[in-house]
This record gives sequence, C-alpha cells and structure tokens, in this order.
Amino acid sequence: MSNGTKHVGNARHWPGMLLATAFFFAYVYLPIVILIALSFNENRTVTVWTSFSFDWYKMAFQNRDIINAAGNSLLIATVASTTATVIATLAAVRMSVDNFRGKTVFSGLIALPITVPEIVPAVATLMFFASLGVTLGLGTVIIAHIAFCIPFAYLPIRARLEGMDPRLVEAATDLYASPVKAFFKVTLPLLLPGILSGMVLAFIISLDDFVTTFFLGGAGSTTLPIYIFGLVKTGVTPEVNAISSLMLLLSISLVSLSLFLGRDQSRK
Amino acid sequence: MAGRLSRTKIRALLIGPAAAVIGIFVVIPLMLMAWISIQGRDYSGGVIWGELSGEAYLRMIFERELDDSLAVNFNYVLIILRSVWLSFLTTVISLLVGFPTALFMATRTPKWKAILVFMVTLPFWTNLLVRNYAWILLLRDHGAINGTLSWLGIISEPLPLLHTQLAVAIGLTYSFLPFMVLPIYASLEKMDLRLVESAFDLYATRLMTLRRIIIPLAVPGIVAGCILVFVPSLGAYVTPELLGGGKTLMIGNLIGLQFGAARNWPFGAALGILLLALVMISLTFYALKLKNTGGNTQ
Amino acid sequence: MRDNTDNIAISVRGVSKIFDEGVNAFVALDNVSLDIGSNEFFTLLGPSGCGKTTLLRLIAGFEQPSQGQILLNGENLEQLPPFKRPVNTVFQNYALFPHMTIAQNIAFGLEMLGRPRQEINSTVDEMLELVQMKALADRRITQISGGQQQRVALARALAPKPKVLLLDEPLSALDLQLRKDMQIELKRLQLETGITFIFVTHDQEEALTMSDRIAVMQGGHILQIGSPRDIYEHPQHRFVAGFIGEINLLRATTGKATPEGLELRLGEMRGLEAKAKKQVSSGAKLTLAIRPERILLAGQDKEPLTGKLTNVVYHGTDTLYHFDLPDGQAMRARRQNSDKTGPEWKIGDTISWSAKPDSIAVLED
Repeated sequence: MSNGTKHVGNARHWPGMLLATAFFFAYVYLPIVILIALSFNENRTVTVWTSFSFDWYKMAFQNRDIINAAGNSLLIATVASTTATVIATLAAVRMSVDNFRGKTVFSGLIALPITVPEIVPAVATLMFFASLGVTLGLGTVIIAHIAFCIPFAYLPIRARLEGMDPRLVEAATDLYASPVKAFFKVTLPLLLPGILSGMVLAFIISLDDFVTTFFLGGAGSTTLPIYIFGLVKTGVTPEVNAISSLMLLLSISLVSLSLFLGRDQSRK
Repeated sequence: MAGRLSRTKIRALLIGPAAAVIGIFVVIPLMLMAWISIQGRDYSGGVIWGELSGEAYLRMIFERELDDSLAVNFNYVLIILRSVWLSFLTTVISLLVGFPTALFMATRTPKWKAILVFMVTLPFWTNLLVRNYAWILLLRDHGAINGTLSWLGIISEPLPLLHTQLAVAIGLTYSFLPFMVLPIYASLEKMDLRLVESAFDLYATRLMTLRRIIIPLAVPGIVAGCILVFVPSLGAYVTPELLGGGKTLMIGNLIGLQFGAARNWPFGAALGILLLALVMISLTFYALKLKNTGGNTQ
Repeated sequence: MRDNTDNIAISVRGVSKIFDEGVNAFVALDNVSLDIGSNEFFTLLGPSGCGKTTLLRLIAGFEQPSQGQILLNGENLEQLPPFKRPVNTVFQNYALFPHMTIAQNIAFGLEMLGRPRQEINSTVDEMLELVQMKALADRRITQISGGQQQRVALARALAPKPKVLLLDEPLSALDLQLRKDMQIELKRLQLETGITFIFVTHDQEEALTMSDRIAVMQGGHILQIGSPRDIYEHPQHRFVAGFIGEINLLRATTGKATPEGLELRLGEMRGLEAKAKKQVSSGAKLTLAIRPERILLAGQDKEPLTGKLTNVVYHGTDTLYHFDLPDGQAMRARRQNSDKTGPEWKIGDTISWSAKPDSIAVLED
C-alpha cells in the first residue's frame, strides 16, 4: 500500500479516513486493554502501576461468592442457550419451508426480545411473575433468558437455511431418501455449524446479561455480572479487574469459536 | 407415508414452542404492563387491580400536592428529554466516527475486510457491564485520563469526568458504535470501487464524489446504523447507572427505580410504555425512510 | 424404436402444470403429450420459461401435474414421491452434498436403498471408473473443479442404475471446451449404460450433437418432435426454424402444382419449387424456410433466381453472402471456402441462386 503519496484518482485513499479508523479502534479497544493490564497490577490503588502480579486472580479464585456466582452464570447460560437453541432450530426449520398466514407476524414476534430495549421486557416479566406470585430466583431468570436467547439462536440458523441450496434436499429425495432421512442426512449436517454457532452466541448473551438477571433474580441467583455490579457500586477493587478480564477473555474465545463453527465451508 | 401428521400439527409441534415461550414470557408480560400502567396505585406502590387511573401518565408531567391539586413538575420531563438528547448525541458521534471507519473497511482487500469486520464485531460480544466498568477506570478522579493529564502537568486538580453527561455519552457511543459501522460497511462493501474511480475520471472532486456517489449508496446503511444506535441508547440502563450516577438518570434508570427504591409499579409501567412508544416511532421512521430511499439506491 | 409400445420408458399424457392461482396463475405446461423410448437420448430444447425444466421436475416427482398422467414403463407415477421413483436427476448446479466426499456422494442413493455394503462399494468403484474419478474418491466436493463436480453428479445419479436419467442443463456451468468434451462423454455414458437419458437444454448445438430425438418447446407447448436431422432440415414451425441454426424466412405465394410439388413465387420472381405435403390452393401466402448453406450461388444468369449482393462476410471455413431479392426481402447464403480465392463478387453485383425442393421447408406460423 502506498502511503503518503497523494493520489486523487485512487478510491482507497481518503483524507482523514485512516485517522478516524485508528481513533475508532483505539476507542473500542484501549479501555479493554487498560482493564486487562490493571488486573495484573500488584498495587491496591488500582490505577497506579507498580509491578506485575497474579494476586488478584488468586484472590478471585479463592472467593467463595465469586465461585458461586460463576457457577450460577454457567448453569443459567447452559440451560438457557441449549433450550433456546432447540426451540429456535425447530422453528427455523419449519419456517424455511412453511407458508402460512401470520408468518410475518411470527417473524416479528420471534425478534421482539431483541427489538425492544431490554429494560422493558425485564420489568414487564418481573410484574408478570410477581402478579402470579412466583418467587424470583434461578427459575425465573432461566425462563427470561430462554426468551431472549431464542432470537439470537434463531437468526443465524434461519440465515444458514436461507443460504442452503434447496436442490440439495431435492437431490437427497431424488436419491431415494425419505423426507425424514433427507432431513437427518442432508439438512441437519449442513445446518449443524449454524446451530452450534447460534448456540454459542446465545450462551455468551446469557452469560453476559445484566439487566434481565438484575430485575428477575432473587436470593441465590447472583451471577458474575450481578456480583461485579455490586462490587463496582460499592467501590472499585482490583479483584473486579481480574474477574472482568476473565469474563472478557471467555467471551472473546467463545465468539471466536462461534465464528469458526459458523463459517460456511460450502463456499470458497 | 402411513400415519403422516397433518400440516397444522407439524407446524404446531415445531413452531409452537418458540411462539409459546415468547408469547407467554414476553408478549403477555408486555400486555400486562400496558394494563398496569392504567391502574391505580396503593400506598405501598403496588397495584390496585381493576381501578382504572391515568395517574401514572399524569405523573410524568405533574406532581400531586398535599391538597390533591396538580402542579407542573419538570423533573421527569427533563429525564425523558435528556434520554432523547443523549441518544441523539450518541448517534451523531457514532455516525461521525463510524462512517469513515466503514469507508476505510469497505475499500480494503477481502482478507483485511474479514479481519476488520471481526475486530469491529468482537466488542459487541463482550460483557457490556465490564466494558462500561473499564471506562470508570479511565474517567475516575484518579483514573487513567486524569492521572496522565496531571502527570503531564496540564492539570493540577482532577477534572470531574465521571458522573457527567459527557461520561454517559462516551459510554453509550462506546457500547453501540459497532452497530453504526457494520450496516454502513455492508452497504458500502457492495459498492463497485470503479464507480468512485469513474467519478474521479469524470472530473469530480473528492467532496463531490462523496456527496454524489458514496453517501447516496450508503444511505440505507446510515439509516439502519442510526436506528441501531439510537434505540438501545434510549433504553440504556447499565451505562447511565455506572457512568452517570444519580444526576444523569435516563428513562431506563427511572423505570428501574420504580421497581426498587421508589416502588411505583403503575408509573414504572407507564414509563415502559412510553419507552416502547419512542422505540416504535423510531422504527416506523426507519421503515418509512427505507421505503423512500429504497427506490433510488437499487 | 418409438413405434414399439413395449419399449416406451416414459409416457407423458395430456400433462398440464399451472403454478399459483387466480391472477398470478402461470401455465408452465399446457396439455403436453410425449413418448420417450427406452435407451433413447431424448432432449427437451427451448428457451428459458418454455416449460422444459418443469416437465423434467414433474417426471422426477418434485412437482405434481395439475392435469394428466406420467407413466414409467406403463405404470402411473402419480402416487409415487420422488424417493420412490426409479428415476435420478443430474441438477443444473449439481447439488452435490458439500459435507460428503466424492465416494460418499456416489454411495448415497445406494445406501438409501439399503443395498449391502459390499455391493455399494463395488458399485461406487465401478462408477468412479466410469467417470474417471477414481484417484479423487476421498476428496471433498469443495476441493474439485467444476468439470470434476459434473462427473461426480453423473456418477451419483447413475449409481442406483435408474430406469431413466434426467439431466437439467448439466453443462451450462462449464466453459466451452469442457462443454464440448462433456457432450461426447455424456453420449458415451448413455451408450455404455443403456439408460434412457432425458436432457434439458436451451443450447441447440448441444441438442443436435447428442440426441436421438429432440422435442422443441415454447410457451408450455411442444412444437415439434423429431431426430436432430429432422428438426434441422424439416422444421414445421416458424419458431423451430428460427430457434435452431441460421435460416432464411421468406414470404412467398404459391403458384401452380408441379410434378415435384409446388411452384413458389417470391414477389414476381418464379423458379423455386418445394415438396408440397398437402394441397395448397394457388395464390396462397405462406412462409418458406431455407438454410443459408443450402442455397446454391452462382454468377449472373447461371441460376434461375436473382439477388443483389449487399454484404460479404468472411468466416474462415465459409463466407456469408448477404443479398436482397428483387421484392426487397433480405437473404443470406453460406458458401464453403473450398479454394483459396473464391468468386470475385463485389457488393452491388447481381448474382443468381437456386435451392433444391427438398431444402425448402414450408412453415406453419
């Protein structure tokens, strides 16, 4: 790439474009980098760097509350993402071949949890459960997580189905596969990466959720984000940096996994 | 094909569960919320079922005095206006930073495009709470920014950065910026670079090319990006909670308060309906705008 | 081969297909009837939207006819879903399973039929041999070229030994040279396996080189069925004449009957004779079709008919002469360049020409 040479005829070079991009990535990544760096800072004052240490990580791993919160987070995310993925897969598979009145309404309905700001369904569901006299806790959190995980699982699966050549299924039935066999031998294997990718995304969304969990949680349903929020509200400690960094790294590795799973191998 | 299920049964079996979960745990609660917003409120902040009342909506603008007369109270209006203003500001900043970034990305080689898209997407999938927390580390009185400035000798007293509207705007932009870049990138990516080069060839200056060729092509992406930034900003809860503090509440926090310390369900429900209405207006605006621009960008 | 009813593989009887209903209704096939013999290489030829692919999909069972029946060896296929029909398809873009190897793709149909493993393995080997892909058996579909994918698609469809093989524009995605090679290859496979091939294409050259018989289709109708020679030499329909090869279409009026057939007049000009199939009254207007290469050209006054040269285009193996008839109709004649120099006619020269009665087709409109 030629830099410095002003070449007006070249569509790749615009004044200020590189600067804006650099600003963008600095803006997005610098806070994360600083957070992770500070989590290795030995000093208690959090912002002044003294020397490298793993102490805060050790402390975090010895903290029973953190371990419990992590356990809750994983439990909720696992149950919610797998349930939501199964439900979403069934719906996506049927939606791709079916035509019925109200299909658009259903498509809108399924995307509803991600169309409206999270606070609204969160407090609405809170009132719903409270009116029914349901005690808030792990159960209510899991149910609400399933609801908002469905669109996150549904959309990538649906997109993959849309991209699939309908002739592949025809070819299978042409080669003596019954519709059920064609589904299990051709549709499902081709869909599987999309399903797994959707499931991992739903898992991350559930794991990272704060608002819904905050309003629908009760005693015994404290998750990592709730725990971190509590610590931040009462005062910043280096321990928070350590857990926060761990959560960031977990999300980053999971999303990389999801993209790796979801990449389309049938295209070149 | 013996024992084949009817079409309707298959549909009910496959689509039913999704419809049921979202219907029961999202749609019905939202309807319940609408109902509660027009119910009376008892002294403990709960709902008096069956007693219709517009009190919750009145409360957004008026305050009930001790003698039961209404007096105008701008506190809540201020919060609502602040939410709209901050969301608007966030959208503008995001557009100013996001557009050139998207243009940069769209003019790279395919390999670099893939890498850049991944890098833009990545933060979205990381914990929003944690990412906002990271800004506390930067904006605090003894945080990274004030620390650096005083170390450089530019300031002697720390600048009050945290718990300001600026902090909230920075945090919101930070949270939703990728939503601006990706749709604009998507509409520019399809653009044939030769179009731009042929414009240069036809004696267009850079500014003219930008105005006449590139921006019109990017309009659907810009509109989508603005909506995708504006809507979640309007309903933000975490960012103003962490970076705003008590003096820079937004609608989301006000709603949250009604289910916590303030405890006023009908009022919380009414604010929820208001937020939904604002979102619906934005989405309708988007749909109309898209319809208008759809024709001449094809 | 087509007169013996015992040897009919596919019989299409009065089949119509209407897509959608009401205002959007679209008639893709309109009362089509057709018999295809066993071991025949039969081609459905026509422009896009003529109904050829729809007919193929009806035979495969992907669509159901709105009216009429399709018989396979005398048996009505109506109730049979595609996976129970002994008919296999080679799809336009091959539709190979991307999550399987080449060998797995070929084995798929046999596995679905529940054949024993040993038989599957030997058939797959045989098929790989047949399409010369043995070395690549364990490659993934994404790792091979378009031409190779084409061969795998063929092998996959042939492996279950279907009664009829349906080919939906299978060569359209290949480039010219590969397409020519595959035309020869397809014909060889058809002869070797003895399976009935029903081939759909919009490419007239493909149809002419491979087929035993061709059905030319347009707008949901079959216009003409015949051998390639038949279709080319004796088009009965204006569309058929125009769609296949290059042809001169001329307005003419009939003169008196002659021992050979029928005298034809081009404006005032006489001297052209055609074989008349049916009685036509004198003075009737009709359309003639003559292939450019069937026109005999000569210098002035040597042949009975005349024309004025308007253009001469050199094509290497032959030269195309454009000329106008006295009544203003434009014509083209093709002449082999059998010697180095050729005649020295110039634009504006008057030339003479003739055509044999059996080179002239009298068309229905």
